[in-house]
Amino acid sequence: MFVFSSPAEAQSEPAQSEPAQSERAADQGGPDEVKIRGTRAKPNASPTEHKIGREEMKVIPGAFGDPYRAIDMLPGVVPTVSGLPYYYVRGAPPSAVGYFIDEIRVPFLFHFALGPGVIQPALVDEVTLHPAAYPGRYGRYAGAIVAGKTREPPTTLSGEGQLRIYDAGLYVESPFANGRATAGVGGRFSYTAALLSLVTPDTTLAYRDYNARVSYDLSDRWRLSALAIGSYDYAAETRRDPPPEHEEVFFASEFHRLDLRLDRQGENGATTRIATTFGLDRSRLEGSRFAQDFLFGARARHGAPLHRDVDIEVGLDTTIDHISGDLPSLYAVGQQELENTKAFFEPRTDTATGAWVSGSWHPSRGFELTATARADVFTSKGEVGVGPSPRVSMRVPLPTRGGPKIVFLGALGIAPQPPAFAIPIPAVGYSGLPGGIGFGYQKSAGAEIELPWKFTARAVGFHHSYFNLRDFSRTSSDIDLERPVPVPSSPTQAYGAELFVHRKLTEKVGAFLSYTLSRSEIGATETTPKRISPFDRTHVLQIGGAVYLGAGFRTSARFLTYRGWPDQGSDPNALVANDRLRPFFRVDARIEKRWQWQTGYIALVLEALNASASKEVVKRICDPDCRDETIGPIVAPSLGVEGVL
Amino acid sequence: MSTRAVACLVTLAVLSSSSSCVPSTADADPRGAIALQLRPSPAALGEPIMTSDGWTVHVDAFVLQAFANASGETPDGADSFGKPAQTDVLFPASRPTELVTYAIPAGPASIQIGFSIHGLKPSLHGVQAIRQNNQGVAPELAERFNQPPDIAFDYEFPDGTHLSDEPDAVSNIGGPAFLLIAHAEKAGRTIKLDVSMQDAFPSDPIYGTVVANALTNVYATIAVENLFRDEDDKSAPLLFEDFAAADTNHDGVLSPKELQVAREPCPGCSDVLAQRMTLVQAISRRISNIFVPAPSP
Repeated sequence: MFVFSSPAEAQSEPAQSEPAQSERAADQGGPDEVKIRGTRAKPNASPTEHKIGREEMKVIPGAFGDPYRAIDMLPGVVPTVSGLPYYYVRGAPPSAVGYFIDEIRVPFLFHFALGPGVIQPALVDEVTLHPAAYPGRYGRYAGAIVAGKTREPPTTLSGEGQLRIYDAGLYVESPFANGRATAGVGGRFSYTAALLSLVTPDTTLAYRDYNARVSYDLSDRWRLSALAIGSYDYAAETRRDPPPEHEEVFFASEFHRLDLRLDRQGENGATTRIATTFGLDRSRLEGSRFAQDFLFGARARHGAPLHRDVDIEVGLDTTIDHISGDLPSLYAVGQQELENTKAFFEPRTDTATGAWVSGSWHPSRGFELTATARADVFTSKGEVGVGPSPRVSMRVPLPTRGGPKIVFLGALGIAPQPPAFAIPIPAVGYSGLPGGIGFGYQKSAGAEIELPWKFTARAVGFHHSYFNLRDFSRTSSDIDLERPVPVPSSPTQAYGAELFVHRKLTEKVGAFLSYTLSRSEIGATETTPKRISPFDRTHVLQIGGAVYLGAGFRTSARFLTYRGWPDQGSDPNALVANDRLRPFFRVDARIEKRWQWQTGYIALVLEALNASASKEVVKRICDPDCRDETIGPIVAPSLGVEGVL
Repeated sequence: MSTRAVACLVTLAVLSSSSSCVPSTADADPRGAIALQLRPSPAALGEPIMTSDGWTVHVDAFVLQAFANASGETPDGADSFGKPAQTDVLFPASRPTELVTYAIPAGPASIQIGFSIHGLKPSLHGVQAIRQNNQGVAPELAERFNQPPDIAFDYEFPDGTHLSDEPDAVSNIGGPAFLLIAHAEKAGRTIKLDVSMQDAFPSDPIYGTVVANALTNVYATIAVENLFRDEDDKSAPLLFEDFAAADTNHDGVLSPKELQVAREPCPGCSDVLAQRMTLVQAISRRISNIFVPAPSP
């Protein structure tokens, strides 16, 4: 028996943005009752997005099954340093790339350095990269949005766990109250501290996280749910000199989120969500202060079909961040340092409020035009900034007279952002909107074509320009913690072309090719002319594949290479790069052996990021003989057992 | 799953999260501040100075552009300089003045007073225009610090050329560091001195103890009379005769040129002129002795 959720959903094909989901609802021994839930394309999707599904995430080599780490296989994504999950996306620095889970903003998604994700993979259904003109419900980031979506609550007991050399994670979720309610809990705990104590007893490195979710169906249409996520990282070294013995903290950070939601599914396909978020962020950096952020957020949105061909969504969201920190004694630091410290840690309340209306027109199969009008108002320490954010994106099938399907893709958008620290660190941000609101102007166009053997190819040209953003590249390769006010205007731009050829890695034989040809430039200011960005990589090429070998064996590998960093010689502000440093390449590999067990499986997984142990050249030093300064090799091996219930 | 089991799971999650806590800021390098309280000596207030050679000297105005530079020792034994609140305080010696230095390691500290000059024009050599921080100096005197000094810093190279010959030399692009206006009388003869100079040696160290996260006051007297005392002997008598002797044209005014030419007496020195300082050089060095540590009032 097939049960459709609503007439509106029944008429639609499984949306490109939200795949259909089928569930075996009946007892195993009884007659099958299969529910198929499909949702039509809605304005929460952007036609030019990249989406990675749950099963595919798991087999991407070097991603360790982490949903958010999987995005680095996509074109336009450039890591700051290979392996580190801080990405430039189409030239937008890490501080301009927003990470969300179920529309909840999170400061970061990975544990310290090469650590795993802070969200249990079992909880995540899909991750979407919106490189431009992202959906109206997202805002306040001038670059890209990486949005994760949690799975629907299960109808039977389900669970997933990993036991690896350095950590263990588990997530279990089950229905109760006759299926009206579900509850799930999980987390990850690292035993790196215990392992490291055997090798370097003075070093402490620890991380852990938790995820929990409860939901209760008030009726067929209404659902009340709560999602809690939190993460903790700590890296320190015990020092005995000078006495007394003390721990020198390199990095300590934690965040917690509790999201309470009320969802409604209307009969006509309408969806409504009212939600509130409570959060607590804390951070401490080496030589810096302790910072804390109590945050509260509220959001509401309502989407409904306005017409057979038109969907519309309206929404409003606000966040209030009460930020505080340990300010130093005014006698213990210099006046400039005090002012700079205040810029980050002075007690204050920052707010951001946005409203949007978004419409999606889909007059024919595969045709989709989404237009959004959004604006945000930012306040901090008496300063007010307004960020208008109009966006439009489209997928337009082109007539091909029986040839392969070709779809035109286009996106235009303006994306405002309040001042943000160069790296997303919980509770660390700028006070008083110094330098004003930053903006990203996003333009891209291209085409997607369906190829034989289930391959698709997408080629997109883009030009993104950014103004008033804080970035490593603006202040050369040095991170200037004490310079809260950016260079006026701070224009940067990135332009280029992306190519993504893909056959799902979950197929018996899957493959992908991801190539970005681009240039990132730092624009001219009153005192400096235009120059190349230190994070310009020009060419970024990845080729990967996954093969099911039979007998439960699946293997996958990826080759990644990119052009070397610009060699800027001894002057980090050199106008013209001398040359290029050595190109970087790395190989990631993964192999798993699965044993089916009841409805799930148990797998033994061996995986390595940078199995080739390649070093990345980050600088050339000449005094007078030249030598290359390298990072790494950053190698992350993993051997573990994965179980899915 | 039973409700009880769900409750257990939620409790477990809460407990696991509550064990995580980022430590607050640790104060591994305690620091504090010193306020150097400068008080004028009677001579700096205009009272006459009676020299041992019979002159009565009146310091009519003595104006300095200065800052305090304090340092202490960090817990790991390294010297660390504090951060001056202001690097270019323009003040008259006749007025009590406070020079604050922040971020000095807690414990024993030494303070030196240095002199700063006002950049008069942009330079490729890094002397930038300094914003004047006038603390009680009459406008006409303060303006002298925006003009080239009467006597610029100079240095004679072995080949006989002078630093001031170089177009970008500091002497050509900076203003004065201090201004001295005085007159002296003896037996009906009056000698006037009105000169702004660029070269000034930093003060001798003044010592204090820094308390973490607090401001400690340290006192010193501006003893302008020490400008007329031998720079190497703090107990030497006050003398003016060598200045008077510099007035070679007997017009009663000591010109910059006369000061640059005149050499101070040096009983122990050889007769080689190069081994004897000019009066300009002597004043530049003696200025380091005018700050005398004083007890707290």
